Amino acid sequence: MKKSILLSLSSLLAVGLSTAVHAATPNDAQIASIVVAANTVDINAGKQAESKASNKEVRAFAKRMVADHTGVNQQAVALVKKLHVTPEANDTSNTLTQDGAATLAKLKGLSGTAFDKAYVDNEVSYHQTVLDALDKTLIPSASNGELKGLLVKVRPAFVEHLEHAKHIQAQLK
Amino acid sequence: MKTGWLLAACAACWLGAVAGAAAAEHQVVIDGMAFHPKVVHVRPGDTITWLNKDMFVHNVTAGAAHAGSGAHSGDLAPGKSWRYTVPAGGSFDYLCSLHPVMTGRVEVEAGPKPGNAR
Repeated sequence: MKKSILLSLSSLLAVGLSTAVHAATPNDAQIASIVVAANTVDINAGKQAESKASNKEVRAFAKRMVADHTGVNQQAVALVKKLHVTPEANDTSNTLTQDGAATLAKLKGLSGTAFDKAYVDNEVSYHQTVLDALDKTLIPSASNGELKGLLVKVRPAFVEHLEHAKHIQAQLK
Repeated sequence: MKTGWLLAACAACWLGAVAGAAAAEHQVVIDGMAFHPKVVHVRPGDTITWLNKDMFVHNVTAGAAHAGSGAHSGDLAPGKSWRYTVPAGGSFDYLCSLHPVMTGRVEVEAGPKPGNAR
């Protein structure tokens, strides 16, 4: 039962973002919306984990996710304002938001080690999927140089977060 | 008497200048979730400045085995830097404790570096 919950949590976001990968090429306004939605999903998950996680390292990781992804969103919002681009909600950003809410609801029902493992498993899937989306869709599709530059600049953070999450995942096993 | 004082003062200045010339300045840039260069080669008395050019907060924290090195910057907001004078002692690994995948090393060398005019 627990295993099936973990699997479904891990696959939720992957399905949402892989939809983005295979969807029609997004324009800059849609990319901005996807970026903000993706970061917001992880900020919300991090806030939940900061209060619910039992493992100290998991709580510290969650706190870092909230701080770093909030930073990315601030930069993204500042840039779209500067570029006079209005983020345009689209199927991908909507799916991300809905899946993020569903993940929060499922995690809410877990506690202790089960919560820690489910949260960290989800973080591994999330960061891997966002990296794939950055590489295959978002960075290649961005037409504005500054937007593309911001996506390139934040990419290493997703790599670091993924490796960090994998490290904690291995420790929790 | 005055001449003696002048000579002593000049000697002190000269010694100070020599000592100053011997200490090198090094810079490590923090960007893209990494330390550049990853390994910095120094000698005791040199100074290292870590400059955070990334968009995230980072820090420089010596590994647990070298906590006594004093290499602990505290959190560095984007654009901030931290200067550290290398004490006599061994080389050490360090990391950003906020992003532990980010690691670096201070390699303390006893002798002059090959080809380095000091």
